Amino acid sequence: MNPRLLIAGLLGVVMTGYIYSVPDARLFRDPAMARILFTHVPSAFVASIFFVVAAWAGLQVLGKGRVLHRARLHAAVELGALFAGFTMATGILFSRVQWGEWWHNDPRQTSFLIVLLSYLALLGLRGAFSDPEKRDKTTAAYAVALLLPAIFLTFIYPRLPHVAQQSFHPSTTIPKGELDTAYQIGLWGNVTAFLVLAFFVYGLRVRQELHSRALENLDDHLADSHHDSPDSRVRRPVAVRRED
Amino acid sequence: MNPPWITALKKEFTAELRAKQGITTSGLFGLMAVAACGFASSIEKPGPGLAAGLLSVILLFVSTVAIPRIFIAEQEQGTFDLYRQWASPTAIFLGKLLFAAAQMILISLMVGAIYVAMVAPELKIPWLYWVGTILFGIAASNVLCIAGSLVMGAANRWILAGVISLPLTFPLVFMGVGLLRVAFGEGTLNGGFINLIGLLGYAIAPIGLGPFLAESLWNEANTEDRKGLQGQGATESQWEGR
Repeated sequence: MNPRLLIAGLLGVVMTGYIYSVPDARLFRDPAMARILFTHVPSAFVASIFFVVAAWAGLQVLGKGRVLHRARLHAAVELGALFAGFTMATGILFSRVQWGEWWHNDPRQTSFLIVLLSYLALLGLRGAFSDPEKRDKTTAAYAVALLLPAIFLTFIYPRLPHVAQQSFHPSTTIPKGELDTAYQIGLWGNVTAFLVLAFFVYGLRVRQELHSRALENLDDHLADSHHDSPDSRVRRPVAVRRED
Repeated sequence: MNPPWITALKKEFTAELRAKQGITTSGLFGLMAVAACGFASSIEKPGPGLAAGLLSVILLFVSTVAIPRIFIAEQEQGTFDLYRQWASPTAIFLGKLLFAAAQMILISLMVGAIYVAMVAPELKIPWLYWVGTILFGIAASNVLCIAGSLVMGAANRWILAGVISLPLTFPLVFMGVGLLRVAFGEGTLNGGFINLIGLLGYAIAPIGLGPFLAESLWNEANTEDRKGLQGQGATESQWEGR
């Protein structure tokens, strides 16, 4: 069995048990729902890491352009978008329970929605190129260009004094160490479990992409060596019978 | 003999003066957007914050219409491959970026003047308003040049240009609103200066990043190594070694 999967599984089991053993949080409208912290924050943490990984892989694709870097880029973009979506979903659920509305127009909620949309735009851009070479390089360039707005929207904008005043989002609880010890253990334990699991999936996706590209190249090679078979991407004209 | 980017810039101006499409249509779009805002607000003047937001959004949408066109039109007319043989990607990008900035300065001045006359409340710090409007136009133009260069070969490139441009410009809108509201009399001058510096940084960053991206995207020599990879099931270390 893969050791990373084993560790992620064990951590997952331990942390799930732990989450239910911690006491309900005070000062919450629905104290039991404070446990959403254990999935919401790790998802945001992992998503942010993958945005940086995607930008780094993007720089490498633009520089050296090796196939491994291309595979890493695509895996990081997909997982970043996935975890950003998960962050958004848990955030919306929290908003409904704690603030009474599915969408509260909180600056933090809105800024993260823009980050999520940015990465969906990146996936859209990737899908708009049929040539793999152009697709890889354009995805890489946009991933690099998106890093600065993503950092601004995730870390800087919500912490600006006049924005923070308007926000209900508890952004300063963790940095100021205001979290209860039991919750801190649960939070960082879950961050670790999410990271292990996310990078395990990332590794799988990178390998899958490499194998897929190797197969594609083999297909092209076979088509070239057997001159009777056209490239799979070539579309032959079809004769149309005239009906007089 | 001129450096290639100056020649590229001259080419852009010559092409624009010949067709007179870009500035005319983008300027018209800006004027119509201001007129729509004036129509919507009727005789009521918006407050400083809303006035700043409206102007930023108008300039943002004008630049989204005007700037990617400079790149996309080259691809659609089929002139880009020839152009690329004549000049380096850096020279082409810088020529287009400078032309786009000049175009946006002109449009920002025009839109800014009509906005003040039709929609905006009284200007408290006029010089900050004009500096902010022009700088916002330049920064938006520079950022959108990156978006335009990315979507050139894409399917649905016109709509995609708008989709990928907006996320890149949200920090810009935030700083633009922060700056312009001070010009309309809300907030401190100190806060206005901070946003001014932020806008300046956002205007300069694409000048450094853009040519690097253009060299990577448009340089045919810097292409794939995947063709040589014929083996099945290559391991990560084998791929890493390439």
